[in-house]
Amino acid sequence: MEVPILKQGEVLIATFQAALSDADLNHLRMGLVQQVVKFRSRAVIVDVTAMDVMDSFASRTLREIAHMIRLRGAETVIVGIQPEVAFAMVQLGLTLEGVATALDLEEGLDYLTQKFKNTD
Amino acid sequence: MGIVLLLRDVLARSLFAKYQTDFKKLNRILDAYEPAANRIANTVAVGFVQERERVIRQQQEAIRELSTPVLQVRERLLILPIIGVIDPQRARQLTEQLLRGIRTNRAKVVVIDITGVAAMDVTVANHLVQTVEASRLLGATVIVTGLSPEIAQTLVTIGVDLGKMNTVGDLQGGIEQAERLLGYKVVTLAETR
Repeated sequence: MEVPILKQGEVLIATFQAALSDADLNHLRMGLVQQVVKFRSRAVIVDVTAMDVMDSFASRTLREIAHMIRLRGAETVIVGIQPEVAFAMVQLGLTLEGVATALDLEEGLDYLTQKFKNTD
Repeated sequence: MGIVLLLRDVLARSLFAKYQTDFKKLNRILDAYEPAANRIANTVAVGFVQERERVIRQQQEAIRELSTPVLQVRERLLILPIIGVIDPQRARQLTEQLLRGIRTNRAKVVVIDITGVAAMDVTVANHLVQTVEASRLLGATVIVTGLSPEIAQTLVTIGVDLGKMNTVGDLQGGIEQAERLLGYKVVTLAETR
């Protein structure tokens, strides 16, 4: 399943669909970093609003994506984690530590705008 | 229930009266009547108790929800004042209500005040930590205020990473810090002149 990656200025927005297989996640990991390189993006927003379940593989992949993207000097923000998913995640000890999170796309973009303003 | 038992006895007596001349027949009738009558009495009793229990459960649920209100006091700022005893069930409900509240109110900061909580065991303390982490996943910062010495001890004992938990002494301090985080500045009218 292809995950759509949209470009919004210096930010890439990847919107996860509901059921992503491990293969999809692996594919996406490489794809996102390649896009960051190609467009010289400063940040990536991963929108997981449509995900109603988050397992340890998905969680680890998200952390790895964030780390890889940081190595390219860009920021990652995960947005749209649903309350039930967040609850399940913390119970399993999947905290997405070290990765920025925001309520939704609007908040994510807001956060990045603030961040860019502070560092420019 | 009392009426059902009375009816059973009255009916039994009338059966006696009617068939007292024929002993064998009376016995046969009673053999059929007794288990049926007792089953009826039992069904009524069980139904009654089940209904009461259902009402009690409903009321307990309502009390639990009312006792952990999630209140918006400023744009993007929620306060969750907790009072009384928290058991794991209440803690879980608290977390669910808070997370829903964060999403509905688009809160960026939450102040959880536990001044009214005397003590919590390790399980509940872990729930609190999980609540803070889950809130962060929804993009909200949590400030915990009003920790009693006992609770502070419990948190240290379970090895909570205090770097991950934002705490302030009292509710007032917590709200002030929340306002700062949100970019509010509160001044008296005298100061603005």
